Amino acid sequence: MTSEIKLTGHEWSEESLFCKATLYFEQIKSHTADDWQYGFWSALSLELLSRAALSHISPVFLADTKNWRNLAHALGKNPTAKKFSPISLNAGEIFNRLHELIPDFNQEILNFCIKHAERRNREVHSGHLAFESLGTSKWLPKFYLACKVLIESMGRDFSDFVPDPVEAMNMINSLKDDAVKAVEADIEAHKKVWSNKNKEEQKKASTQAALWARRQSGHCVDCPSCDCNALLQGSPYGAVSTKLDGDYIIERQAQLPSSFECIACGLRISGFSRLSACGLGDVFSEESTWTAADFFNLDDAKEFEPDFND
Amino acid sequence: MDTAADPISRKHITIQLHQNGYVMLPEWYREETTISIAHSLGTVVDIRALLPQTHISTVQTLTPNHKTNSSDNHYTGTYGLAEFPMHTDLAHWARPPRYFILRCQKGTPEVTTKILPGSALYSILKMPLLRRALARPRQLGQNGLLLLLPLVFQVGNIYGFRWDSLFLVPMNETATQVAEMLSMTSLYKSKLKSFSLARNGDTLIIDNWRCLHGRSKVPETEINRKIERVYLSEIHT
Repeated sequence: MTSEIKLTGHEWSEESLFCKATLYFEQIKSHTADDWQYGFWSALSLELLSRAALSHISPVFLADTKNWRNLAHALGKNPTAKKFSPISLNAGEIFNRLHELIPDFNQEILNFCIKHAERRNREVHSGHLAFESLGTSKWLPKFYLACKVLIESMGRDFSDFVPDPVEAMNMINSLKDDAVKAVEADIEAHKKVWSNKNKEEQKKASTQAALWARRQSGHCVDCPSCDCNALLQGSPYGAVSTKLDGDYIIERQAQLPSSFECIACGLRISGFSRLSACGLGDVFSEESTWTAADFFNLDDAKEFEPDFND
Repeated sequence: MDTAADPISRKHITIQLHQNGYVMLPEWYREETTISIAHSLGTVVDIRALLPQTHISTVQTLTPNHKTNSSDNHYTGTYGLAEFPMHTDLAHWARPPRYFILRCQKGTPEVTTKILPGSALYSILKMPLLRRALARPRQLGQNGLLLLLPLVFQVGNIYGFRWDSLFLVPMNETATQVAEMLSMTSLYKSKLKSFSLARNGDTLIIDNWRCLHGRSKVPETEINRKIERVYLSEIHT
């Protein structure tokens, strides 16, 4: 039966940022979807929500590290310099940090957030009407997906933010449906092209693909269109594990699939939702092996020679 | 004094606070001072240390007064002898104190403290509505900032509720709805619990995160009523 007493909150606290994101989100709902303000408020709300999610991990991550006093401010310390005005990171850097720190904040969501913030910047820094005539289908489902990931990363309910979570979930699910339809059509088209090749052409392309997949970096998988060896690229997902194996240091990190390429039939798929829709969404590991000298950047170090009296 | 030496009281207090969000202890250790009672119950919030410039003491004496005789940053200054609206204490703080004790020094059965328990509150105001309600303090904070406050806040697994129609300003439609509903006493009149701190030592402990409270109006004849209040951040179990 214990609690903490606080007179005043912190401007970079999860709570104050989440509340402001909620307030801005409600501004969206006071406009119709074809109003430019609808998109504009969504971009402001998304940025605050992102800052809240980063602050949930630690408010220190919000501080612009060019001035150490920003870190002190994030830690709740009183300013030690006159006329000090705390500065936090720009939106792009916030999104990049979230991408590394929150596994579900994947490359697709990162790309969307960066693009939406760019629209906001063009709106406030230029004469261009960045949100005018911007159809909601282009961004609204991805906006809700980003919000959901950020809200859940803070251990909160989606319904704390979105009054009608069912409607928002339908939009998020529509992303999956769209991805399934698009990727199925792509695979079918490439299957047709592959089946039009004669046996010899297929064999040659398959051999080249196997060789290519072995030499290039990436995760080797079977192509869903032609069954040849193909490569999956990913973006880091979660923490790096490091262990010592004899004289070598092995680093492993899970990768969330982000793009696929098959040089045999030419099929290319990008984006986790599309990859997931055709069975290529499984997380894989990327392993790096280092010597101690490479790992600790000891290029100039002399080889160890024990002292010995001749 | 040490209420830990009084296991029946300790258990009774813990159970009642857990079940109802308040506990009334008639003529409880009437010979003891409020501060010693408070220290034996839990961790006392040192208001003097938190607000050094205000000279508000850790044990505050609450006496009724006419509206004109006090300043408007107090309930008495604003409402005088009239009924106080239902509220939680220090709702404009980022994290209000969890508990407070009201202890009778000079009592009267003519004045009551009304309590709206959390269970009754959540039966008239639904959680999904409450969780989106936002307010702001009516004044800038000590750090010169004005930050939004959620009416429902979470600390670990515990949800707390805040409301004060004087010190908080609703900032969204949801908060305005909450304010309107709480201003309509007819909506919850039947759910109110009423206690009069009439005799020396009568002690009311309230969970400030789960209950709203308010004082009834004070007749001119009862202007000498004297109650002491202490805030606690924790109750020892």
